[in-house]
Amino acid sequence: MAETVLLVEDELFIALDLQATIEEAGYCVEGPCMTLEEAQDAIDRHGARGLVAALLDVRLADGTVFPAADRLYAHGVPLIFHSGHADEMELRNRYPQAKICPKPSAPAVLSAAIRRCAGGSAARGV
Amino acid sequence: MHDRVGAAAPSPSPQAAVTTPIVGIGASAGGLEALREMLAPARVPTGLAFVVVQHLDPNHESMLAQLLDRNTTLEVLQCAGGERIEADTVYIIPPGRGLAIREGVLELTDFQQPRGLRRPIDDFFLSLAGDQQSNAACVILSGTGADGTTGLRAIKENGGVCVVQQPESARYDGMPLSAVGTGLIDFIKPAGEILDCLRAFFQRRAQDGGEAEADVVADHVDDLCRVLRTAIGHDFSGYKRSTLVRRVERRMHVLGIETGRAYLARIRSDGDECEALFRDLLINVTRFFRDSDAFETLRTRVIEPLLRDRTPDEDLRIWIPGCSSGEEAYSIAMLFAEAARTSGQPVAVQIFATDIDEQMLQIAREGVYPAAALADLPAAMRERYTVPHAERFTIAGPIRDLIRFSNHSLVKDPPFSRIDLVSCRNLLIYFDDRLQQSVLPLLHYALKPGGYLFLGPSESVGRFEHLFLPIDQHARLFERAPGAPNYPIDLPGSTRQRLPRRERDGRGDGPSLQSEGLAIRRMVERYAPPSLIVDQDGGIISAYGKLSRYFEFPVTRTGGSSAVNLARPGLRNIIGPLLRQTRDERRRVIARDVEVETDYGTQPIEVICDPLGDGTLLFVFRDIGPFSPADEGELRDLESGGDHLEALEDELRLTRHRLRSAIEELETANEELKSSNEEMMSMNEELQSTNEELSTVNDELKSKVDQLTVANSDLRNFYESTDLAVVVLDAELRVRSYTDAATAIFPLKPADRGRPLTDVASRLRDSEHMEDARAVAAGGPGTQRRVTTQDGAHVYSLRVLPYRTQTGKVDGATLVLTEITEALALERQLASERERLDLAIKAAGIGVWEYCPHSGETMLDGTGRDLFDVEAAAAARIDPLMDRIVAEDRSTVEEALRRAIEGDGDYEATFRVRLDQGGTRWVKGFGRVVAGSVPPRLVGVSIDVTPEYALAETRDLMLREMNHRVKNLFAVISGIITIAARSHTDVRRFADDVRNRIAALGRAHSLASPAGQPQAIGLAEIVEATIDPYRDHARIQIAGPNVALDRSCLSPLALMLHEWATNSVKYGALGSEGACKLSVSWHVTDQGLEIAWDEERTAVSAEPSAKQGFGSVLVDTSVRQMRGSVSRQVDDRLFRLAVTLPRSVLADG
Repeated sequence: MAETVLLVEDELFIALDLQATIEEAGYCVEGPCMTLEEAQDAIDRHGARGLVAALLDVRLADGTVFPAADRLYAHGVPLIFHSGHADEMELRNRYPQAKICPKPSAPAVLSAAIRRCAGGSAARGV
Repeated sequence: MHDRVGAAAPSPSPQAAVTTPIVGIGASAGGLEALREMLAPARVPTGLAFVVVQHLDPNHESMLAQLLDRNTTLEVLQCAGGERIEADTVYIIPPGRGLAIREGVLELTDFQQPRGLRRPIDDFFLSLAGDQQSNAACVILSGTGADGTTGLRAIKENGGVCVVQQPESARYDGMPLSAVGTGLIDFIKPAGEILDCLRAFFQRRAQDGGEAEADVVADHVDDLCRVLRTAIGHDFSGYKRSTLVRRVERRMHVLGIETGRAYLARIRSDGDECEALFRDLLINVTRFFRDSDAFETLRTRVIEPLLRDRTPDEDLRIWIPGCSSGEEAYSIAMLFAEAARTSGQPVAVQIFATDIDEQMLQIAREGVYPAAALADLPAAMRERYTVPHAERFTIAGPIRDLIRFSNHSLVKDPPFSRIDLVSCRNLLIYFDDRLQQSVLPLLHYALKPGGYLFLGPSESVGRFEHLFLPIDQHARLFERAPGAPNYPIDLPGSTRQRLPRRERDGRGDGPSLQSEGLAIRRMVERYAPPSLIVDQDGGIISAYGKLSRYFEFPVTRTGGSSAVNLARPGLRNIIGPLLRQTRDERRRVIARDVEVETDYGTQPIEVICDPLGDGTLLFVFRDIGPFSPADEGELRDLESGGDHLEALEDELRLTRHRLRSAIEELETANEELKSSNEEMMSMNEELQSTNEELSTVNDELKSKVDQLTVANSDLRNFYESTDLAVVVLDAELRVRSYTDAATAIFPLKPADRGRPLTDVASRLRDSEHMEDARAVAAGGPGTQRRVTTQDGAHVYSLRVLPYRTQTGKVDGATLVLTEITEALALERQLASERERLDLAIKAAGIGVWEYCPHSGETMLDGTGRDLFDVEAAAAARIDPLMDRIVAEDRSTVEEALRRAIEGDGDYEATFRVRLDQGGTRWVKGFGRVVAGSVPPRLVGVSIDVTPEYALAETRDLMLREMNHRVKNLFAVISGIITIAARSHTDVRRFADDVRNRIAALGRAHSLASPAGQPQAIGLAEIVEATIDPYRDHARIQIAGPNVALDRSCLSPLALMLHEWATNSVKYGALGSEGACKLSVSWHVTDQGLEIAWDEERTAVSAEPSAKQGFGSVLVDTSVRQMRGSVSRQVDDRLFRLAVTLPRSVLADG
């Protein structure tokens, strides 16, 4: 079974694009989740261990993604933040290990980032 | 007589040496020059004080003090009264006033006499002599007349020193000559040497211890007396030693002679000095009614009884020896006159007043005394017996006529006889004991039995109590004891024979010498032949032995003491020829067989006449036969023989007597003329001195006028050129002067000077200026007010100031008008400007502040305080203000302030201020150091910039938002491209599709305001914007309520509608060229919003429905994005698309 990447993005057109990018990179996509609630549900469903990486937008309709991100981060799921907001500093302080890709990022950049994260995670998982 | 050697003149007291001698200076015409000459060489300290009495015109202010002040180093003051005399100061008499001195303090006196009769120099010298005694000096300088001559006598009497300007060197020699004429002058010097002379004199006197010298002098007194007697003819050896010594010492000080021996030598060789010493020794003091109690006793005990009991046919005979200047004689005459008047009797009195000082007698004969002496007279006498003039009074004629003044020596000349009263006061005190003892018997002789003797209070009859019985011991009144009138043959001061004896006396061998003298006297009286000493005219000088057989005694006044006259018949015709022959031949002559005829018989005698060598002749009478009783026949023969001669001689005597009275009358008349002349001279003199002063002043005035001319032209230039309007008013508010500028307000013309300002028209609206001027001229303080002209066009600042003369007296007012119209306009302009500025500052909410870094003091206006949110108290210093600033910003502010203070640019800082009600306020401050302020002071403003800061934050926020949205849009587009790429193979189609979607997105976004302010977007607008490009393609109907949508659904909704419209163009109504109808409608339900798209389709076109095309993916995704659901219905040609959206898409939902 292909490894699963959690996609959280409240803008569907972007989500579709990202989904295509992730799938083209060879991963299954959980989502896209448009709200924090959906994201939390997806994590519950899969379990953190079932995810090789998470591509997260920061601002969602019902708040920031941080509560979900905290859960994932606590379980060592590699995080990729894809955000149009410029608050990199906060993100770096909060999740020193996370990868940050400013929105919009070229699909190639994102693919590479996902592969690197998922690769490291897969190695750990095995 | 001689006598009265300064009775009251005290010896120089010990402290006299240390007190400043006061020099009185009398001057008149020519005096200014002499004074300058005299005072110019003065070198401080002189140790002397000077008082100048100059004849001055009473109506003319004197410049004398100023003129003198320039010529001397001494301080020169015009006397104002009350000055205590100080050394090295010159006090000048003021015009129109007299000067007196009392206890060293100058007093001004009023003249009682009219001009011309005033003798201010005499008056002052008298006062000076009385006050300063021997410490006084007088100087008489140039002047006409004789003022000062009487005064200098007083100075001398009291032991002072007299100096006179050398008459030849004086411009007017009247006063100096008159002074020199008294013979009392100590020094005669040119004016320039007087000061040194006085200094030297007082220095000598101060140095002498006195006593040692007194001894030296005492050793030579006898010699001095001898020299004097030889030279002058008066013998002072019987005078009191102490007085003599003192007088001689004074002369020695004057001459600068230090030893008695040297003075003796001087006096021997210098006749003038003898005369001077003689004058000094005679100096006297007397007064009217001296010791008034004694005079009262005299009146009741003597004068009234005498008048009552007198023999009707005989006049009373009174003798006053040593009458001096006559006051005592006149006093007694008045008493007699008064007593006679009250008892209603005639004044049958003859008073003989005698003295040896002819000058004094002259004064006595004149009967003119200073008015001050009037005080000594009882009021009744004063009115009745004196004739007052301005400064002097004269004795009334009837009194004057009672007295005969004559030159007669009590000691030397034979006494008067048959006298009822002898008043011999204060004369014996100058005589030593021996002389007193000789004089008293003489007085006894002179008095008739029952006659009275009146002595001075400190005199007594000594051991002659048997001759005089006291009546009133206290008043020193005595009655002649009955007894034979014992003629004192041995006239005390007469003979030369006694000289050797006196010399022995002088050597101090008292008692034995006295007894020897007695022996000789007794021998002469009893055992020697009667003899007589006469002068060359036959006047009896002295007599010895019993002469009554040959002469008729006593003498009568008319007969005098002529031996010829007194000789009895028989002797009388012998004596004359005998005397002449002896005198001419200078040999002894004898007349034998002379028969002297007495009342009882004839005595044959022989008479020897022996010339004594000094002009006197000795007659010796020797009886050569027995006395033969009277024989009538013989008597007749003898008488007839002498009758003719006797008659001739009688006639001669009578004629002489008449001649003498004629001369006296002439002299009196002459005196009167002299005194009126003097008055004239003194008037003239005053004028002269005034003239001199004036000419000197004139010279100075000339240079002053030059200065004034310059000052005046300066002033005129100022007056003409100044823009200041100045009007000077005098005390009566008359125009004194004005500037040209003043004519703009007061139309003054030069002729208006002297007119009251009230008479001059004024262009001022009201007359407050006159009230001010009046108040100021009356002594009020200066005023300032604003006045306007009548037309109101000009405003002036009016200052009214007191016009002060040089003495500081207010004499009018000065009006100064300054035009302030423009200034006022400017002021108003400034005020409105300022008001505007204030308003602007207030409106702008600008707080203004000042800060003095040196003291830390600050000053904030109300806005400033509000900005800092502090109370006024806390705004006064920098520290509490700093506390208000948020801690992080404080250092920035401090740094900015520091830089500004150090001159490194202006201050500018933005900072936050803590607010009490929470929160902060952004404040921006600007400031600048005030140029040139020391210590530096910052002034600046503060502005509240909180709104600007809030705006900037918002903008920031929005920018970020926009950024996010743009990025989002890019991501969306990127997503669209991705989706499109999946379903397109043809690039052109792909590009068209994508471009169309992007354009739709753009149109939709153009509805959203870029500021994002309206978060809501109307649904109708979106629909219309989407349909709009196809408006003509079909009949389009759009219906629905106003619905505002959340902007987050803008993009998906726009995409969705775009897809629907695109499909419609391809397959439906919008592609029907207007044949079909399209209806878009919506309504809001409880669940949310339902939008329906209904269209007619011309044909059921082959819409690719099964396969998910690019368009449907977009629609699905968009609807998903909006969490809605979409349904599609096809009913024949009707095609219906419906979408249901949750309430969350509504803007207010």
